[in-house]
Amino acid sequence: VAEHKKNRILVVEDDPAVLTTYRMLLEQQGYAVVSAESYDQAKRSLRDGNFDLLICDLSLEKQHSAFEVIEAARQAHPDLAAVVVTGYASPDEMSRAEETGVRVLLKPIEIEEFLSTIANALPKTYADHQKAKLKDA
Amino acid sequence: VVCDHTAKPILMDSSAQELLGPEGEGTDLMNPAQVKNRSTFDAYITGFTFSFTEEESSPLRLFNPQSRTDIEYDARSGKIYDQRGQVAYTVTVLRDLTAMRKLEQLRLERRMLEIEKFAATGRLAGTIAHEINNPMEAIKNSIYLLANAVKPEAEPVYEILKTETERVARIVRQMLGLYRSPQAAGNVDVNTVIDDTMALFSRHLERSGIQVKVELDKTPAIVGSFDQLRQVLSNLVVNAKDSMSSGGKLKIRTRHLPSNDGVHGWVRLLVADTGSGIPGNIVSTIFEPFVTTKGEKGTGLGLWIVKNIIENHGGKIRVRSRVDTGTVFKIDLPVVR
Repeated sequence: VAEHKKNRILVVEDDPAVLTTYRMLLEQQGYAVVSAESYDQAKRSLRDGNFDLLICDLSLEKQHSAFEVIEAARQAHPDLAAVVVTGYASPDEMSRAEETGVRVLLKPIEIEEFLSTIANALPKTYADHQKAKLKDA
Repeated sequence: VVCDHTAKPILMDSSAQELLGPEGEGTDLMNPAQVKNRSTFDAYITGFTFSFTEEESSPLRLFNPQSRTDIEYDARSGKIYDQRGQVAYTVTVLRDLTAMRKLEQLRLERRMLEIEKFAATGRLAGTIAHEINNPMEAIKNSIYLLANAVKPEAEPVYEILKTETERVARIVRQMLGLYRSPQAAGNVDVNTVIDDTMALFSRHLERSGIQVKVELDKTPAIVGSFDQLRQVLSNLVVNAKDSMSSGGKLKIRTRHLPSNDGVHGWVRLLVADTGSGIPGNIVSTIFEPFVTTKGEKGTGLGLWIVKNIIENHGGKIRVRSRVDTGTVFKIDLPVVR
């Protein structure tokens, strides 16, 4: 039996402790996770691999923002799904997220909401695949 | 000042005579200040005498011989009719509002200072919350990740760790609500605050089965902070929503309440819900910090913040509530003409 392809998620967060917990939470759910602590590291990871979803902290180190990472990622994959996490978003940033088609989660994030938002943001095919699997069982 | 149907003054007290000269046409006045005052007054009273309004109040700038400066008087006039219903006389009272206005100006300045101070405190609280937020996020996630690694005898401690962390997380969330870009106090239209806030909440309320009714009267601008008033309204709307877990009605209404002293006035804001209400034993302490009806889910800071903001704006807030029937918040914000 061929093992089904795991969804690949890139997590970008400049606080290492938070990054570790996000990675572990997602791995617990069976996702394949690559983590990046900075804008440059995120760009390198984007170059090296394909992702189904990008999770990114809004304000990164050296004044970089999640929107830069999303822009860079979508140059290669225009319809890559993304979720932004942050402690605070100004009204301008909120409307920019809406224009970009990105969900914003405010920290501290309820873990159930975090996981369900991610499941919903992932490309439909995987969800359908899961549903089909449930039906078969 | 009593004038006849041709708008000619026929009876004046001594202080009115000081300003406008003796009764009569005023054609023989010699004092230039009185000539000027008389023409200002004539224009006003002629307009009123031949208008269709029964009473009128209007500011008049007249030269005051005591202070030797132009002063704004508040003129209020009424009509006396004869048997045929024609205007027979008009009666006008002129009041010097300088002292009152000066006092009002002082109050206004103090209020603006309080609003700025609150904004600064809020920013401080917000900045601290901002710094606590990431460690908080890591702690909360770690607790979740450790769920399966806890020994049975440690379960009660783990539960405490979990619920107390959630409580701190909520307080941090609430404090982050105060973290906004600095914005000075200025003229604010309460109705715009409402439109702005409700645009944010309307879909959310609809999904929760809450019918929203907004009735906005035409209201004058008040002096205050747009952001802080939006915070007030958001907190009240969120509370209303939380109290109507199985749907209900939310009504928001504004009205202009002019006062009859010519200087003051109020914008009244009503926020009423048909929710679970506040129990009688805590309704009197509901504006104090850390008092909540939401048990584990509340921070007890929302209404305390609301009250602080309203009082800094020189306003008043009252609450009426009945369990299982609903709650009404009544806010009066001062208007200075």
